Amino acid sequence: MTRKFFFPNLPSLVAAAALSLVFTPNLRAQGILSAEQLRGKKILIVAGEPEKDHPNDDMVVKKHLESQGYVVTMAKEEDDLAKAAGQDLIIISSTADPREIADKYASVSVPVFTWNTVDYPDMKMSGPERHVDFETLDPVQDYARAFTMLYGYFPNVTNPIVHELGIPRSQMFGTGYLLPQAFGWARPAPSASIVVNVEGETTHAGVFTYEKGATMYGGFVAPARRVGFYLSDGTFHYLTAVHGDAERDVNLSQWWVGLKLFDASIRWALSPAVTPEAYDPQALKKKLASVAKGKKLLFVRRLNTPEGEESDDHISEHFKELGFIVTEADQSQPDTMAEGQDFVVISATNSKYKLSNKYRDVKVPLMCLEGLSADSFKMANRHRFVDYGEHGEAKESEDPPEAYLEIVGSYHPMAAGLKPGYVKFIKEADVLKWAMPLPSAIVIATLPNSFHERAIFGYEKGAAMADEYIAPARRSIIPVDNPAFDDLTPEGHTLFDAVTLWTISEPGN
Amino acid sequence: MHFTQKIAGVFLIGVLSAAGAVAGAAAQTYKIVGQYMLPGSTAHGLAVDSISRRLFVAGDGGIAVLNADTGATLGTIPLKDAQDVLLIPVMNGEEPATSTVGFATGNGTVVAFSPESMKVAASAKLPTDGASSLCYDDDAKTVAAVSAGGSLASIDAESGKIVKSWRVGTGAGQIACGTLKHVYVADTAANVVHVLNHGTGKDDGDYPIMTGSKPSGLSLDTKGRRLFVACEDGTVEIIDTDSGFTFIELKAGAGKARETFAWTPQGKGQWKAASFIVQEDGTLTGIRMNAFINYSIGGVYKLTPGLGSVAYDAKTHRLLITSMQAGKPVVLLAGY
Repeated sequence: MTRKFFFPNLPSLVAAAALSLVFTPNLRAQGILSAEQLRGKKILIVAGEPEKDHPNDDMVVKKHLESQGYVVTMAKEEDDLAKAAGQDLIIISSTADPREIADKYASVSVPVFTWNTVDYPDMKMSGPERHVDFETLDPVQDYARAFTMLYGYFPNVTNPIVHELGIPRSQMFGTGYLLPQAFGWARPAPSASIVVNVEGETTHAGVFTYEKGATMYGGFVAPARRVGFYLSDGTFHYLTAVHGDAERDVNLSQWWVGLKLFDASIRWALSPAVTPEAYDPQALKKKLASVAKGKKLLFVRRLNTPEGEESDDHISEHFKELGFIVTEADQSQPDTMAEGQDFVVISATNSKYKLSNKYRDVKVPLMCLEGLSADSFKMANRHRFVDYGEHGEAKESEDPPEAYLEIVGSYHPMAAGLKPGYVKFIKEADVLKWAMPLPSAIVIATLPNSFHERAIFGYEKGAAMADEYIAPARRSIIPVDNPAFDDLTPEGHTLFDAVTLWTISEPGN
Repeated sequence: MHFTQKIAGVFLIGVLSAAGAVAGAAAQTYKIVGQYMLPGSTAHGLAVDSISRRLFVAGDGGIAVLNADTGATLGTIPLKDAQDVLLIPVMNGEEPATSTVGFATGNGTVVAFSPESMKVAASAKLPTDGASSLCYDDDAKTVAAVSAGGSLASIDAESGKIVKSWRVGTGAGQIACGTLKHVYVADTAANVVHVLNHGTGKDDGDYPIMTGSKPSGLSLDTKGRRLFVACEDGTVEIIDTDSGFTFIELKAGAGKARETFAWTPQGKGQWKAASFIVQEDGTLTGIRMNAFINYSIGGVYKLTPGLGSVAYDAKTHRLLITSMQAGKPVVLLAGY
């Protein structure tokens, strides 16, 4: 089948361009090449044998990709991995028997795009347990739920794939045409980007991606980009598309985007991966100093406090040393103190209660060192010890003190070039705080042995945070509790600088 | 075979079995049950008034008017090289009544006529010459005339006067009128369906044909807003006109196609609705509606090659089909 793609008309293009000026994602690092630029790229589709009474859409997909200029070869599930040599992208159809292909393609250093949901665990894209970590839904067996699968949700408009579609805000869309169809979702690892979630569950991903270098399930590091998509055997031709008069209706053209989503996801997979800079604390500090020079930083802390004052002083000195022009404000002062400032940092010496909702709406970048304030800054939801919490605080946590973090987003600049895996963050095990951010967050590090306790993460300007609050500027969180700054290891210091640098950099950098 | 496919297959077989069970209650195996001879040497569009029992057939000699039950010639409405004819439907409360106005096109002209007296009441020149087709927009009470030469005319159904006309890209295939003043035109050469607007004269956008080639026949379900597009390569694409999305593809016959849509074509208790497609290779295909988003092949019937246009007679539940037999134009009656 040749699925013809009709470009949006001028009003839609103008609207998308205008919105991109407001919500500019990190496109320079994750730029998606155009179809024209990707013409001639080689795609291998791994598919099962067609069955006489059970038609599937594999050849329809092939024809569609060929119509866009890709060179497509078919492979069978029993074919040797050598058949993938020279290919630019491997597609794994749900028609391939997941028990036969298993983890054959897990380690290929070529991007993989798969809608073989049952194979996600072997591909390390999700955990192993059906109905918990992944699920395939059938329109007969799961009749009622099959209707909910007609609706997907874009939680993060700063995601480059979503940005390609011109989606202006977090919103729903039609995944497939009106008839309930088979569908697959998965709960990916923390470092994944959830492009589409379903059933109102933030972690049930219909479309998700892993950047090369991201930590996938079980500590497996993505050797190349990975994409999971909600298709099933015969559902490609149901991917929504709009033509004619309806194209001019912005709401309809943003609703019927299933096929455009597929195409954009393919192009993301084929586009160059992000290449992180190598771990080099001195070079990072130099770079940070050049960006920081002359920038006005407001450091919000509890002045004249018996606890943590010295480490706060050291934080302030560090910022001054980097070239920031530092002003200090007490937690009790009004947040008009941020007027004229370029960057706001919230110390962990602040009392969350006394700080109230101050600085939440500042239209400049903000970095928070106090994990328990994640909810007041809309970085997480509000259920204490479920959506945010801590390790190591007597009476407030059943988890022991911790010194390490686990780097899961090593591909990202905030990871400072640190390799995936454990990094000693503070010298002595102590309190480390965490939060569970919304799907549009970029997760850099988690607490060890924890799926949902995320320690370092950030939100791009324009990303949807808790309660659909839109980030007015970049936001980040790093668990430098009081007085942990003085206890940071060299790697911890470097992470501190890396998170600072990303937070104050322009969106797109 | 994957479990999911098995379940889906069982579901589909179940639906089709249920459909088959209904079909078995009254055999819907359409076949030719009669034939009426026509004057002249060609036969194109046709329309039937099920209440007055009059059949109107466009041909080179004008609009031939026949007794729909016997085929006896009742008269001719003068219009040289007539291409298409339609009757404006009339309702008497909930029941259909005899049509009081008809329209026909031919040779770059559109005429309004009285079906009863068979006299032309009004006549107007279309902007372009060439083959032309008519459809009726019941919401707007407007007749749209589309010329394959590249024009659209909007005609007031009461007065028969051309209200507006425009030069716009059209096509050689069948046309159908829908909601929102849309006129769908199958452009066989460009492999698209144009969505023209008889209020503005503009093309509101094209529907691409997904896998088929040479769209030729069109019919429209105005309630569900589904467009049935029959292509010359045998593909039938069913398009949701709210979005222009093709959601079902089926297989019919081959060659130039013409269609008609009918509700309960075999009476109550049988098919909910159907689009009937007649094609040059002699195939009559019934696309059966199971639900507003569920259609299947109700039957594919081999009649005789050279089928032209088709109309549905609500009284007899028969299909009336123009054709050429031994070089002579006829109307075939297809029943079951």
